[in-house]
Amino acid sequence: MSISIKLLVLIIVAIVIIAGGLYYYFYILPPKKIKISLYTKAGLWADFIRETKIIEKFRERMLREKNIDVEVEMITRPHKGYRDTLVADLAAGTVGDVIWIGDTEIPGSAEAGHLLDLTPYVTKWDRWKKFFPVGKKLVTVKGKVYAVPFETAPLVIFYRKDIFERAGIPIPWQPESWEDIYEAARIIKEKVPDIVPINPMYGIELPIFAAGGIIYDPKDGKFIVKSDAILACFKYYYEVFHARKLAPVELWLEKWDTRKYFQEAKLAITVDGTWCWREKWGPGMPYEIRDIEKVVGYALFPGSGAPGAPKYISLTGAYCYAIWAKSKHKDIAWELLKELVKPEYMAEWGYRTSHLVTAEDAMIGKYAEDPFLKWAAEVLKHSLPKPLIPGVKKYLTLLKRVVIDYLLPEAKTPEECMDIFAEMATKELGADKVKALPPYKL
Amino acid sequence: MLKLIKFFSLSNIYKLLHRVLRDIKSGLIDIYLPLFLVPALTLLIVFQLIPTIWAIWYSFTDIELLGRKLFEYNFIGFENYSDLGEDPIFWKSMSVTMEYCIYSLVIRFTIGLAAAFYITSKMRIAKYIVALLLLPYTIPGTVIPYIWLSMLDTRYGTLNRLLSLVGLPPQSWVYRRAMESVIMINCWAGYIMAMLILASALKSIPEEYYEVCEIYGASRLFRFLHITLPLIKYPLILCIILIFKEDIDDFTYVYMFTEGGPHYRTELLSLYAYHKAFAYYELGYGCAVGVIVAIIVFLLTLAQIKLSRIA
Repeated sequence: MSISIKLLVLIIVAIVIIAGGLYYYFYILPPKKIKISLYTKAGLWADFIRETKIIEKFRERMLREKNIDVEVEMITRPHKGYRDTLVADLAAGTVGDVIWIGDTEIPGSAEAGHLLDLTPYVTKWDRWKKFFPVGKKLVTVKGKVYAVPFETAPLVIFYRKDIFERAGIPIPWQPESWEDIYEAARIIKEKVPDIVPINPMYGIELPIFAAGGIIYDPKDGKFIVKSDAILACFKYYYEVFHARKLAPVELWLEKWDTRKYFQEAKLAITVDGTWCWREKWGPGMPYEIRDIEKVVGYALFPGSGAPGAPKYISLTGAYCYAIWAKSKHKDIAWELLKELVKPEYMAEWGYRTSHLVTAEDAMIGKYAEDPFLKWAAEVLKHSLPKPLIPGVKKYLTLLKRVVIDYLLPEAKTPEECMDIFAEMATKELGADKVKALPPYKL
Repeated sequence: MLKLIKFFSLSNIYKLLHRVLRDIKSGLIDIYLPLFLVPALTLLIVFQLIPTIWAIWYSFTDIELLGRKLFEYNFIGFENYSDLGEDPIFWKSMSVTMEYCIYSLVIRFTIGLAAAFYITSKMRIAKYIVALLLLPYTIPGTVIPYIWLSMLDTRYGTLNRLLSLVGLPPQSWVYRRAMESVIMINCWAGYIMAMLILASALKSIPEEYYEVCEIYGASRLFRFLHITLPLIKYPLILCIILIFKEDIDDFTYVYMFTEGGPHYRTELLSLYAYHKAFAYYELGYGCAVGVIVAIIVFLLTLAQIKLSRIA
């Protein structure tokens, strides 16, 4: 046998061995087994993941693309107190690989090293460019991305068209200043007695921004505890609850169920999140309003009307998916995260719960055709992301306590409330972390 | 305290171990018997002792639940405790807790005692009533506030509807009468413990004593003051201690019903510890509040043990 024939046989044998090896690797090699977990809210949230079979589809994809059999365990926690439970689980190290997290928990969790820096992942991910800047801001801490936003929901004004008609207020209604809101509520109070004219806010801080103010100065890293805007915020509540008596103080002090009141046409105007449209008042939901398009109107929250105040304003937060920094399978967790935030799931979730999608490629299907969601997407243009800095939760809790503990029950004046707030915030946040804007002094 | 320190001294532990080993060798102690304690002791150590030690340690630090200080915390000695002394909300919370405990104690005890008398009476219907009286005990603690929230709603609540039926004005149960409401809920759900302890104590009194009283024509008050009361004295005191102990670290009802409001009016110590740790993320400070509650419970437990021995 000549050398060339021997060489040929050798090459053929080598090719057969390599081909056999490759065939074994790709077609016969049993898939590698991996177990990861997904930490999310129980109820509506977990049900959505189950119903849409996201996990099953993800497993199929992993098997097909990477020959990995991924078992995904769902860890669910109740809606009430979810944020507190999550923080405790993060500290205890008992969260899942992929975490459903609210924007307010991101800065502290990132600072504590709980969350994986996703910057290297998102920079290589084409879809990241499609996400709206407002959502990106909410998940970015000191230039690093720690989560991928899934849903957002700005605050808007909802009003009962039937009550407005009875009161003789023309609809559609769009207040241009706080004075317009007071005036509409006053007319309703006069013309349609026995109902609550207005629920002035969801949360507390929006009027500060509506008056052209800020709560934190990034230049010196200090929280603002005295300013014209903070005073305007207290004035807004004072006008509604005391000066003009447009809502009973019990509405907040007794935690009346404003969504139920609104459903039963016992509340005319309410400031709430866009999610109420379907998650609360939608078909089959606890407080379903039939023919909601005919009965309920919506409007943007106006600026205070003071110089420097914006024309309209909204504040938006987001719920996001993040990856636990101690995850053993970070790359697989990233793949699951990418699956969870696919445009079709975002759009379906947005449509079902009237939360807004966070990426432009998710404005598809029924979501894109829905008139309310189309309008709500426009609201995002007027929306500010919630300021996310460590300590902001404490700041906002104190602001709420001043309204709930002093302004409402004791009818303290806005000036007195601002003094109390400044004193409390200085004590709780530290004198070096707070400041007053001129002409006020601490 | 000195006794406790002396008990845990190294020489004492050595002596104790030496004695145990000697007794095992001589066959006075069955070596297998203590092994039966191992599962219970393991659970106790893992789920009670270790977390308690951690909580005590954290109370001496400036650890925060979220942020950099979760890992980079400092030992600050008694600073948290000295801050507590100057913290008006802590003292408000302490006074609110005492108010809650005392009112709850009086009501739970009184209703429990009355119910105990009723179910140990010779009335035929009593045994059926027992089942009815035990009902609140079967409802989970987290469900109770939800039931009561619908009962106490100002506009639609059952209680205010009942008041309006008898011509009384509706009450603001969730706000103006928040403390009264949580006490009411606690008493409704909690009188059963007193009822059961006192009923068993009443049942243990020999019938002959009452028969003698009947023969001599003693009044009901005399029978209660001179026979019943002295004979149930220890279970009675035990019951008081147990109720107080149970109430001092109550959390569920205020957390779910009022969240401490209005204006810290229902901010019980345990809720204050929770708020400090979870709303403000000041875990070290929250642990210090928790340790104070634990010390009170510990002292009450010592009293309870002492009393049990006397009884």
